[in-house]
Amino acid sequence: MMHTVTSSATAPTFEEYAAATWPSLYRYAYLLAGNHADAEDVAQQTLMKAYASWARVQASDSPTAYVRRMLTNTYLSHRRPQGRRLELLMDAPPEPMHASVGGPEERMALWPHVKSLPPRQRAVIVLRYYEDLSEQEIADALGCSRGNVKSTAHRALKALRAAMGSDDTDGRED
Amino acid sequence: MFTDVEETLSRELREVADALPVPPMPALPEQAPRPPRHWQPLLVAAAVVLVLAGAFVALAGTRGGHDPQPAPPAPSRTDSDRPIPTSAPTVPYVLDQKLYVDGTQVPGTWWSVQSGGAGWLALRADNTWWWGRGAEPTAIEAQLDVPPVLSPDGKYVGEVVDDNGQGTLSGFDTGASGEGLGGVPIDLGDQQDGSAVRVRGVTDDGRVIAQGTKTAVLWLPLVDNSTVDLTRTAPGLQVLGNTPAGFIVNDGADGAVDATVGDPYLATISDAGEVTRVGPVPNHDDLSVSPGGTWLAWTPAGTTGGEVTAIPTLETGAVDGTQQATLAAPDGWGFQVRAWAWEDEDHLVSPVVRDGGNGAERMARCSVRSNQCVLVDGH
Repeated sequence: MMHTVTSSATAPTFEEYAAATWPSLYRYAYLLAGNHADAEDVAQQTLMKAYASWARVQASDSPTAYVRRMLTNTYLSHRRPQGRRLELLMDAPPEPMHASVGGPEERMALWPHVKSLPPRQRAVIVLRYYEDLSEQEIADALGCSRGNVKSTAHRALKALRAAMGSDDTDGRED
Repeated sequence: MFTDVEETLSRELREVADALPVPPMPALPEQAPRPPRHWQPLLVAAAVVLVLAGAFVALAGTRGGHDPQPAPPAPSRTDSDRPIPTSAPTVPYVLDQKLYVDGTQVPGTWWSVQSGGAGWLALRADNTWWWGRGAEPTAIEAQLDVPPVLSPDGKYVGEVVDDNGQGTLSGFDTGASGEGLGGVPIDLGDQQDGSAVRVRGVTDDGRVIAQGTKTAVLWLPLVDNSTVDLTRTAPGLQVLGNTPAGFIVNDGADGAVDATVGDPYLATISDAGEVTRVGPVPNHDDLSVSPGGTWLAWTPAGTTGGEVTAIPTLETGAVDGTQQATLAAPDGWGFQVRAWAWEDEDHLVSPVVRDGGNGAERMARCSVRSNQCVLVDGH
């Protein structure tokens, strides 16, 4: 989950903030993007945006929520051709589309299907079930209404259940 | 929600995250904050090459963006006798209320279309809005009381959505199957008293400006989803549209709310809402800029109002204010008002109607460089 920066007598410098936040930023980006190259790119771009807007980040009520929103929007607007980007970023051969075929990730019941969800649905799923955000917090992160979050989550969960091979939803919704 | 799926999701997402090898954090910039796209060392070398190769793309790519860009090379007119192509237009167009995209007629009856790059946005005769990339149309389902706006490169659409009186400034990405940009609440204003808020411009990097008589907002959905109150950063400024050469604005002196009076100009607007003047444009009813940001075409102020449906000429000139000329429609024809579109840095196309208004419509193509127009092969 994303690292939470708490207020202290001395506000952290951007360098301190970045160092403390990088692992959680990267993990969140990976869960959204589903591969290391895109995760690194999205997390880097987010740090750069935070750097460029550092005064606003610091002045916000919650720098963690502010940067999470930045990363989510960066991910949702991340639409460059993957092959070209991998060539630019990597000094080693690009990772295959499924980096861990046969590995623990691929043996999971839902994670492979989460990676196949449309970006916005995936963002809602990750924010809800990894970041443990409320519907209102997710709505704030995505800049949409709670109703939109609810409907998007419903579609995503329906798709995941279908992918798991069970369409029986009667009586199992909250 | 589904309990079994929820439990599995929580567990698996944590397992994936916990098992991740996190790469070292990239080196941080040493200078004062600037927003370069990447700083990874490998990219620096690649960027040197790409910057050189992409210089001209960047010139046209800002489109109302953050920083003023150097002016594109001044275009030139020619006396070339090279014939103007008479093939069908290469950009979407509406003729006889039929919409054509990529040579294909899109089903339905249509009023108008705007386009840029691969994207288009059109108003159907039933007053519903549709968009597409290619000839397949997609409806905008949201309730829109004011027109949505397409970015110059056709990638983004900005819209003011009315949900039972609750306003949302919203938008979507035409390049990502309509993926939404989210939204922020906005005061809709009032259609009756003329204060209704509508989108005034969308940039190629997805920034949206909406304005009414009481509201002016810059929304940054792809940065941090924040908004900037332009009534504070640029009091009185009227944003009239966006073009490949920047926003068309008027400083609002003497109550100007359009470009027919005052001193309209092209400008960039930063993420902080700061306005930087690029250069003046003529007073006009309508004005558009070629895709590369080098040429203007416009109708002078007061020439297209009221019952006017066609005009015999358009004015053209370089964005730097030089090389102005009057472009005449083909003999016996007049340009339909508010319907011309640029194809490239030389040609624009427009529906034309017979003088006297007997109903006949054709498409015409004009070369700005040679200052001539011809009728084209049409449907």
